[in-house]
Amino acid sequence: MGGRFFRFGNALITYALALFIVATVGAVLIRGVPRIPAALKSPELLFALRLSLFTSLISTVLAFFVALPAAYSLARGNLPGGRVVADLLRIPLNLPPIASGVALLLFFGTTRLGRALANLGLEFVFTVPGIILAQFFVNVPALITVLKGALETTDQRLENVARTLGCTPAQAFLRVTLPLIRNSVLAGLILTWGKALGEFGAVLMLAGATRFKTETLPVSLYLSLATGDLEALLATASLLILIALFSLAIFERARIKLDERGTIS
Amino acid sequence: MTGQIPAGSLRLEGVTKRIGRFTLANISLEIAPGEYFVLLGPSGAGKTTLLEIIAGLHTLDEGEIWFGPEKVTRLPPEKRRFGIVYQDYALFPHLNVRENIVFGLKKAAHKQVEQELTRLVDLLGLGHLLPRRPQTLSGGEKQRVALARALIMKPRLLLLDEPLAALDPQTKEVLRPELKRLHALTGTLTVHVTHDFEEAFFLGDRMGVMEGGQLRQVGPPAEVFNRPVSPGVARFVGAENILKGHVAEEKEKKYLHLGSASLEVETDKSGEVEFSIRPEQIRVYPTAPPGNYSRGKVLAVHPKGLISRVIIDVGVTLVALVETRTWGQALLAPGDTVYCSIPPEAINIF
Repeated sequence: MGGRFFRFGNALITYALALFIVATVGAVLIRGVPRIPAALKSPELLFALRLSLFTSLISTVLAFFVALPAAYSLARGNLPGGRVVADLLRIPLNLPPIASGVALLLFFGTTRLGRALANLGLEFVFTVPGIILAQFFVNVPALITVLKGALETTDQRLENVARTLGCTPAQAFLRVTLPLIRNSVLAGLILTWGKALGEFGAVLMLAGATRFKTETLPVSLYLSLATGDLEALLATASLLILIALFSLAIFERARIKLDERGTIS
Repeated sequence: MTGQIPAGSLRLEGVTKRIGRFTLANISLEIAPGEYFVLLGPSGAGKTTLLEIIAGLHTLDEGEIWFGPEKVTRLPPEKRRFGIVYQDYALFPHLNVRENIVFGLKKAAHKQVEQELTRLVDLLGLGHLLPRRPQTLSGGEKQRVALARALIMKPRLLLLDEPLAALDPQTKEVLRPELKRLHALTGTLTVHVTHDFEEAFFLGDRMGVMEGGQLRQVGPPAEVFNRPVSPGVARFVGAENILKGHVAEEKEKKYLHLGSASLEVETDKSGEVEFSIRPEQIRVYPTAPPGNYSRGKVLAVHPKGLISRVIIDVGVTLVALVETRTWGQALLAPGDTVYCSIPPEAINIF
């Protein structure tokens, strides 16, 4: 009797939570999706959509090219002080994004290095590059974690064999290891892109919320709320949710494929 | 693979490498051109590490490696042209058999790629496997593919890391002579790592025994088997009787006192010694044989098909391998009194 009650209770809570999520997200979608076509005619939303797509793609690509070498040197375990570095790299993962944004703002707005960069034309405060940097900073640790996990499942000896067959270390990585983790790479990129697209706190702090300048989709949502524009609010929220669902679906698919392959090594 | 691939000799001089708490200490070794050299040792002895060092996959802390007149110590693996085959073959899982085999060939010379491929495929009987994925192959097939992948590069030497360990006994029996045949055909200097002394005996021109990161003994298999230099080596090559005794000289001959018996031995040592006797070199008789013998009582008989392992108490405990047939219908039984004939040359004093 007790066992049955326990299982029934667990199942009930699980179903209840799933229902709650569907209800809340669905409530936005039901009211928001019909408003999307009209909203897409608004230059402001179009601007926000374009800016979001543009910045999130660039920050994802940047994150990839930084995360891959970092994940590789951490995964192969021959980095002096690797554990400490791994912990340091995880810091932004656990910071509230808005605090990350404050950190970036202070660093680029008040330090000598930040001002020097600004003088060289690399101005991050209240600019589009600032949006990209904020997305990058918040997302890169998670991508490193995903890639590191994938790399740890690959067999170092496959690269060893490739080396004896004439490959340089870089060639061995590109011809053997990278193809073996391609599903994880894909999944990680989509996850990163989806999160970059929705990043708000850090972007707001570093790049501000200026209409037609640093107005990404989440910033646009925030501005709509501030001005009480319910139509735009619902449409923007629905767009964000749809994009998130889409990236989640692809991520899950890639992960299933990864499991099906089974023998990664 | 027609004719001989020119190969130099391999020379290790004082090779030392520390990895974590493990140290590969001061390994010096010379292997002749075309030789089949077997590195034997228990797991954790450092055999695979030594193999990877020869391949160039670890940098050395100390020492030098020479291939013929060429110093290769700091040459990266991709420039050494040394082939390696790992225990579980490390085939590239994302490539099919054909792509695995031609992995190392330059893409440009298409015609040559086909030629080389055909030759290796014929040599190893892989034709029907080319489109398959490594995951679908049997252990023996994987091994052939891994060999083909290494051999297609015409390596200057071939490194085999426990190439038979992952196979079932039947496949092993088939592939052991296969390795010998390939070696005879290619004439490539081969270093073969194993923990199986029968394998070492069957394949090795010479062998080296490793223990705890050190190379303990190098020599032809028969020599290592019959004259192990230390109790550790003796234990590992299957000389199960490793004992202590006292050697004394009488009438210009040396005698080893073993239990109540006094056995003639060939040694220049005296006093307390350690020695080993291979179990198959002890002959067991129902009556006293001529020459060296020791009387004892059978403690236990473990039949293993045609051969039985017989444990005999002669004052100390000896293990002997006895052909079950020798005793006709009447098998040895615990309690029987037997005479163990142990010729002087069978007693190896360390």
